[in-house]
Amino acid sequence: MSPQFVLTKLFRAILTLFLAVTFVFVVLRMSGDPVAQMLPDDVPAAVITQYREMWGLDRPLPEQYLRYVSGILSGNLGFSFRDDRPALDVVLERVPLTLELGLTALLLTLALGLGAGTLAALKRGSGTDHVTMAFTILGHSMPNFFLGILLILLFAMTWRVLPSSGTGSVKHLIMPAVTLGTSYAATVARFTRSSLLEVLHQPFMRTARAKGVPFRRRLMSHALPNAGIPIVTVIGLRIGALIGGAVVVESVFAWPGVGQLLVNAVAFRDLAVVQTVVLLIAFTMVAVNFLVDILYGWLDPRIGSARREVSA
Amino acid sequence: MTAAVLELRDVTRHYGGKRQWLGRGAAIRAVDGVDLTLAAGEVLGIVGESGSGKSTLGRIAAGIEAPSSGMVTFQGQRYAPIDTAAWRRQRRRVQVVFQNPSQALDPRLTIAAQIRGVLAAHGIEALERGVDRTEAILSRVGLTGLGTRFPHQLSGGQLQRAVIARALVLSPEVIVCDEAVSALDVSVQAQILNLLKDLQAELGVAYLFISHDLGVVRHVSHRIAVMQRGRIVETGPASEVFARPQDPYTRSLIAALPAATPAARRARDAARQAA
Repeated sequence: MSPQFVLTKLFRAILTLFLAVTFVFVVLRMSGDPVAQMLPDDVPAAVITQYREMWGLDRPLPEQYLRYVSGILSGNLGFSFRDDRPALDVVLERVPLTLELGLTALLLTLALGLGAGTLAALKRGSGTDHVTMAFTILGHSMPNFFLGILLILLFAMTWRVLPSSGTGSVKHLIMPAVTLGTSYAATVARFTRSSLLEVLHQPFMRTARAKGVPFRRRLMSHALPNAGIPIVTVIGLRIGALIGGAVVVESVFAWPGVGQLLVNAVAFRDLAVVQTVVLLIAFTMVAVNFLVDILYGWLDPRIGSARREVSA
Repeated sequence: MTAAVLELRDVTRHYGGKRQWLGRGAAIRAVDGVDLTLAAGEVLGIVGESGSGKSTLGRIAAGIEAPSSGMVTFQGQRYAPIDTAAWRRQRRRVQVVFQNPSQALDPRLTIAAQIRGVLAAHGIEALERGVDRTEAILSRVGLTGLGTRFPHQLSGGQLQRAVIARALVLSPEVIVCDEAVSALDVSVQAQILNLLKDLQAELGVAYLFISHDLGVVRHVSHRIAVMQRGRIVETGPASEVFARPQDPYTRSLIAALPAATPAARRARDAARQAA
C-alpha cells in the first residue's frame, strides 16, 4: 500500500465522520426541544428559559455547532442531560455488551453463512442445495425483530428454556445472537454460493485437479480465496449493519447495549448521547471499510500491485 | 515399437440423459468406443472438428474425468478413482496443458508460487541436489527470473510457458496437450511448438497432442488419429495420413488446409477434385 492510498482513505474517512456528525447535529435540533421533552407541561416559562441557558440551547445554531465540533477535537463530547455525566462515559459503558452480542452474531454469521454457502455450491442442484437456498430466502425475508419475537414465544414462553430478556449469562446471549446473526448469515450464504460457483468453473480449477491437488486443498487454497472478494465486501457491509440491527434486537430482548441506549436517548432528546452513538457507529463503519480494503489487497495481489510495471 | 505408457480400451463417455423436469434428456455420446495406444516418448496427434469429442477424450486420458465405460491404463495399471491417493500418484505421471493459459493459472498467486504448490501437493522437495527445482524448470522454458510475476503480468506466450513448466516440474511420462497453442498468435504458436518439440526430444516425454489445426498437428506428431463424432476414423503415422488419407473425412480435413505456395495450391485443388 502506497502512502498516497492510505492518505486518500484517511481523508475520506474523516470526511465521512464529519458529514455524519453534522447531519445528526442539525436534524436533532430541528426535530424538537429537549427541555420541553424533559420537564412537565406546567412548569413556568422562566424555568424552561433557565434550563435552555444552562444547556447552551439559547445560543444561535452555528455557535452551538462550532462549540460542539471544537469539543470533539479536544475529546469533549458534551454532557448527557439525563445522566448529568459526560456523554462519552454513558456510551462507553454500554459498548462491551454490544460488542459481546455483535461479535457472537458475527461468528454465527460467518460459520453458518460460509459453511452453508460452500456446501450449497459444492452440491449444486442437490437436495442440500435447494433446502439451503430456501432457508436463505426465509432468512432474508423475515425481519429480525419478528424472528426475535418467535424465538421468545417458543423458547421463553412455551418451553421456558431460555430467558426472554436481560443479560448476564450465556443463556441470555443465545436468542439475541441467533436473531441478529441468522438473517445476515443468509445473505453471506447466498454470496458465498454464487461467488464460489463462478470460481469452481474457472479453468484453473480444472488445472488444479489435473495437477493432482487434493480436493480440500483445491477448495482452501484456490477456490475460496478467489471467491473471497465479493464475500468480504458483503461481510464488511454486514458488520456495519450488525450495529444498526442491534438497535432493534437489543430493544426486543431488553439487551442493555448501545442500541438500546440510542433508542432511549432519541426518545428523550438526549442530544449529546445520540451524537456520540452516531459518531461511534460512523467510526466503526469507517474502520471496517478500511479493514476490508486491506483484505482486498491480501485476497487479490493484483489490487496491491496494480501500479507495478506490467510486461507485455 | 517401445512399450505403451497410456492405453485407452473401448472408452465411451455419455453426457446428459439425466432426469429432468419432464422425462429424461437425450444422452450425447461425446466419446464412443475409442481405442488408443500412446507409446513411451511418442507424440500422438488427435485431430477433428469442434465437438468431435477430442477434449473429452483428453480429459479422460488425463484422468480428470472418468469414462462412462471402458478403461484407461497407465503403464499397465488401471486409472484409480478420482481424488483417491492412488489417483494423485498417477497425476504425477500424467500431466496436462490446456488451451487458454491466462485462465489456467490462479490469478492470485505468482508463477513460482504455483509451481512450488504443485511440488508441495505431491510432497516433493523444493531442492534437487541443491538446485531449486522451480527456478530450474522456469529457466528451461525460457522464463528465467519471471517467477515472481503474477499471471496478469505475463504475455500469452509467457503464460503458456509457465503452464508447461508447471506440468513438467513433476517429470511426467505423459503430457496431454489440449489445444495447447490455439489461443496464441501464430508467431508465438511456433515458439511454443518448438519448445514442446525440444522438451520432448530432451526428456522423452510422450504427448497426446489434441488440436483442430492439422498444420500444427503435422508439425509435432509422429502418429495421428482422426476423430469424428466421438469415434476414431483413421490412425497412422503422420506422413502416411497426410500423404494417403484413407477416410473421406480425413481427406476433407486435409483438403481444407491452406496452401503455402501456388504449386501446393494446385496440388491441393487436384486432390479436392479427386476427393
